Amino acid sequence: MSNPFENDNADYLVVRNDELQHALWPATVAVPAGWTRVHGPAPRQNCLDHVERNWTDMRPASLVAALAGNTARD
Amino acid sequence: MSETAAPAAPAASRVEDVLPLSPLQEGILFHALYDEDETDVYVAQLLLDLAGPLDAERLRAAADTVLRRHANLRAGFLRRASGEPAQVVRRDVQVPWAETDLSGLGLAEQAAAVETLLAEDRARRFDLARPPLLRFTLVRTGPLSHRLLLTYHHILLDGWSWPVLVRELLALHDAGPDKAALPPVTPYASFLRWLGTRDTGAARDAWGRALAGLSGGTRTAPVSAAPSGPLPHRVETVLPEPLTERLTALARAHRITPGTLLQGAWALLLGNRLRSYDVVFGAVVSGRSPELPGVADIVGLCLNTVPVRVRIDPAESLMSLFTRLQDEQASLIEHHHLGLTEIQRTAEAGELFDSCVAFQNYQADAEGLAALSALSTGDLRVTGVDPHDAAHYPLSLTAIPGERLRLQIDHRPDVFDTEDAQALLDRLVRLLTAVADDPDRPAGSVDLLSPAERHRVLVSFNDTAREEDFAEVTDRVRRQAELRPDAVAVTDDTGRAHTYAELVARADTLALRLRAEGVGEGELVAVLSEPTARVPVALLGILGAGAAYVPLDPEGPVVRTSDLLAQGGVGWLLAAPEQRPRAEEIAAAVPAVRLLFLDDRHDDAEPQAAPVPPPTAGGRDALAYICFTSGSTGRPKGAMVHRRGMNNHLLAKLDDLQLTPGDRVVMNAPLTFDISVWQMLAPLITGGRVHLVSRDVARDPAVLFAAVAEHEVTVMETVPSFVRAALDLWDAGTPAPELPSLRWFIVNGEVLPAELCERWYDRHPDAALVNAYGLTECSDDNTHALITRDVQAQLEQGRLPVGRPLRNNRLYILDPSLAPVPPGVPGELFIAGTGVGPGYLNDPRRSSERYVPDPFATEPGARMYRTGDLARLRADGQLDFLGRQDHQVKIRGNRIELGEVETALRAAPGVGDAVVAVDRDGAGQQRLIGYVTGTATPDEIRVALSQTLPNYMVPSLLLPLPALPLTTNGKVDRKALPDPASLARSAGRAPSGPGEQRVCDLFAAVLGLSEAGPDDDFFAHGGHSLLATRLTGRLRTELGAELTIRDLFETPTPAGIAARLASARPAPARPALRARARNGA
Repeated sequence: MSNPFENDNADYLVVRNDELQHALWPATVAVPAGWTRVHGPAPRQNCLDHVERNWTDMRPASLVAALAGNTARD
Repeated sequence: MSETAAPAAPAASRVEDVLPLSPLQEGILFHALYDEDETDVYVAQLLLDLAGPLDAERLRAAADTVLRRHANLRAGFLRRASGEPAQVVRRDVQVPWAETDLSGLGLAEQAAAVETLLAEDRARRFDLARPPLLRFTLVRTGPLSHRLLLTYHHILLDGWSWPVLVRELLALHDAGPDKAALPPVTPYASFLRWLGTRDTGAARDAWGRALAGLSGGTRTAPVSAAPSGPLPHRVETVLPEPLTERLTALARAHRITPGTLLQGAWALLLGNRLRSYDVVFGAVVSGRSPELPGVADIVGLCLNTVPVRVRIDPAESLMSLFTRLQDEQASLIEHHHLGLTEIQRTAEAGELFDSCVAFQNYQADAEGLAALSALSTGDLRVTGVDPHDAAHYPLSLTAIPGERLRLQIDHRPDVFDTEDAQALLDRLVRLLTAVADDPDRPAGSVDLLSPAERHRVLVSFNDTAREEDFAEVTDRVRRQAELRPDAVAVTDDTGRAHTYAELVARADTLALRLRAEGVGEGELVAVLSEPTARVPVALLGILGAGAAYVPLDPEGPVVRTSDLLAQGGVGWLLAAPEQRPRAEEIAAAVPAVRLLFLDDRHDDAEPQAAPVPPPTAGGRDALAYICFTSGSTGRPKGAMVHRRGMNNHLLAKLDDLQLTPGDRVVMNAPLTFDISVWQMLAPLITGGRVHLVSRDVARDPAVLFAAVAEHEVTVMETVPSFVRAALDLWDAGTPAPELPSLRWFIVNGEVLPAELCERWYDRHPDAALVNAYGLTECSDDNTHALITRDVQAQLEQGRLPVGRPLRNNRLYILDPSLAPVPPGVPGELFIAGTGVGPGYLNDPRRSSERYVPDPFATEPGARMYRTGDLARLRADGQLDFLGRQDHQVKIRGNRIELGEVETALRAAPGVGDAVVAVDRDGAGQQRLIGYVTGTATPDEIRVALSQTLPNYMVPSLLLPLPALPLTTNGKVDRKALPDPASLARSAGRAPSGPGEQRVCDLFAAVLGLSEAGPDDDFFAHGGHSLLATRLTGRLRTELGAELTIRDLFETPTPAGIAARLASARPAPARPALRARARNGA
């Protein structure tokens, strides 16, 4: 049985949470709370390409803000 | 009770006819002969309630007449000299008839006595060679009430025969043997002839098409089931009348049969249970084609069991699935005559199924039989019927139509427990309810869990929420230093020892130095050092500076290390002074890296107390460390772990191991292995001590355990292969050290065999074993299981648990539509909670497909990690690890979990460790290779395996190794397993003497080969159960050897058989027919 995240014939979404973390999500399953669709439905590789282009800073947004705040104080 | 056996008569001239067997009869004959000592599951019973005046003698005469009418009821089953089976019809057979009078008993006693009678009679085997394979018992329960028990062998007749049989019995009883106006008999022989005229070529083609592309059979049994077993147990339920009506109306409206509806539902259940979108199960079909005139009047075994293959598209609507299934099945009806063995051979997918669905549309209910008996003129009526049909599949679903649909699941108690069968039945009812409620919903969307089950697996089992209690480890260590500045915190092999005061001073100094050098918060600092006391200083210094620790392998290839640093964007390399040449080489290859050295000037001097470094930013979400793990694509993945994940895991270790300042933990894990992090930090945040050992010590069981003893280590963690190496060493005579201080012995990283635990406890009863499981991506260990000394009691299906989730961890076992599965059902393991790390370093692609939204979290936006591991929950909420999803292989169409074969190999006497790999043999076929350590020879192992595994799971080659190759982390290194071709192996020896030669010749003849070697496995060379019957037949007739099919299963080679022959009781060589028929019935 194909894995729900590894089916090259299925459509996926790219979803994102408030921390700007990106994730792949099967298009047929309801998007969990706290996540927003930012891409798709689209083929898997297409979604992964989107992730690669757009998730360029993998640090959670709140951590980025905290580090920036500390730098500003220095 | 009185019983009259038919009188013996001379053997000559009593044979009326010799008939071939129908395919199903052949199959039953095989199973019945498989083990002649156990219960024969094919003994079936029909118990009739009869009301009205009954003349016992007339009824008995009626039974005799029924036998006279239907020749096949007088058949015995034998094998010809050629090994071909035959049914031999005797001319003059009388019905074994017993009578018992229970009319003096009360109702309850009567019922109990009948139950006993039924059970005892069912337990009495029939000798298939001696007809008749049926017997009657008439039970008198009152002046006008009787029960008639017919016990018969299923090889004689099927349930569709009952109405005919009962009708004839009653008519003959009422009218007398000569006066009854019975229709002419349609002989079973006519059915057999009709079978012979079928177009088997067309049938093969049709089945081949229906099963094309099937990747393997559907096995529901969680453990391998022997071909024969104990009588099945039954769970049953009756649907409410409204639900039955709705389902019936639904089926009618969509022009599908209730049977199709049931089959579709069963397919969905199996798919859910087995994580498969392509399932097969058996369906019992009547086999009574309307083409054959009078077919309904045949008393005999016409039914067949044929495969139903269902492809599940989770997006397809339920009703569309049912309709499609009905169409697919309709096209196969005319091919129902082809025997199952033949169908399986056509499909080339091995054994196709082990579960079976029957929709009883013969009139087995009282009403149906009463309607028939109403045709008779007499006053004797059937008022009740209680069939006890035979089933030998591990799982059989039977539906009995009525105003309320009755559903029964018969299950073999050696394979399924009653709770499991009941849960399956409950799920079936929920599924049928969902079908009635909304037939248009997608097939994949039906939630099979009850709300209570759902709550249990998602909430109750994951009730781990605890105050996170976050603090920087540097602050925790500082607190210990304030409490006990002079206590020793760190020791190592080089003789270094740091007190808490020194440790904190060194770490703070380093932190300030790093900041001064320009290391920014959130930056990555790689550490290159042997495992010495410098490493905890480096780790604490880096964390204190607000950076993340990236341990490097001090003996790894420089190129690989450079690539890691470059691809990971690691800006700093902090090296021990003795690592200077390697460090400079690495730094030269990665221009972006700035090289720093752990300053050794202070090593021998009393360190100066340093100012406390300023607090760092980011807090709990800041990175703590990154561990690189090998990736399936070959490129290492850097799993990032945040400080909250590390903090939570350390506190879990403190809680579960009850660590105190008195504890001493040995750091024996490679620094690149994440367990080294807790081995260092857990003792340091509790006021205990960590002792670091060199790589050479860590790799050598004798030396490491000596160090553990010498340093009075109380807590140790390693991998099972290492444990085995130590135990083997001690068993071989190396003195085992006393380990009186060791309290906890933790193992993780590999499957923990029970036998290792027992051997461990034999030597170290007070060092408690903890089986841990975890993912680097999820902050190291995620579950702990305490394995107590009664190891066997903790096994389920041969496995030890890995335990329950650690604090603030949650485990989900999900099906392919990401719905939770019930306990006992395997699924993919997802880990959620505090341990889930931020992702893979600089790898958004792989991060996005592994760290995914958590649909069950209470806090929105949470993530869970997709482990790729197969696991299942026990009823008590403990996790059983079942293996990697990608270790599933297929051999000759059979789906095989290598882990199962490995488990069986390790359980074989004389086998130490084992690992199974897959390669291709000279013929390009995939085959299993078993690499084993220990004293057992391949032949001995094969014999042992043949008792625990289906033959297709026994490795084609068993290669003994002195030891299994291990990776630097101590896990079995599959890549380093030797190529079988490189190992000296005889191309096949010649038979050792005339005895072996004769058996080899017979093997070759039966298998249709030009020759067979003495070590050639019958089942590995195309043999199957029916050919096995032939082979034992020929062994008997040609060599005079009384061997059972089980003997062949146990020793499937000519050499094995020849050895058995040498010790077996010789039987005179003579034709099987006469040998088996020497006594009268």
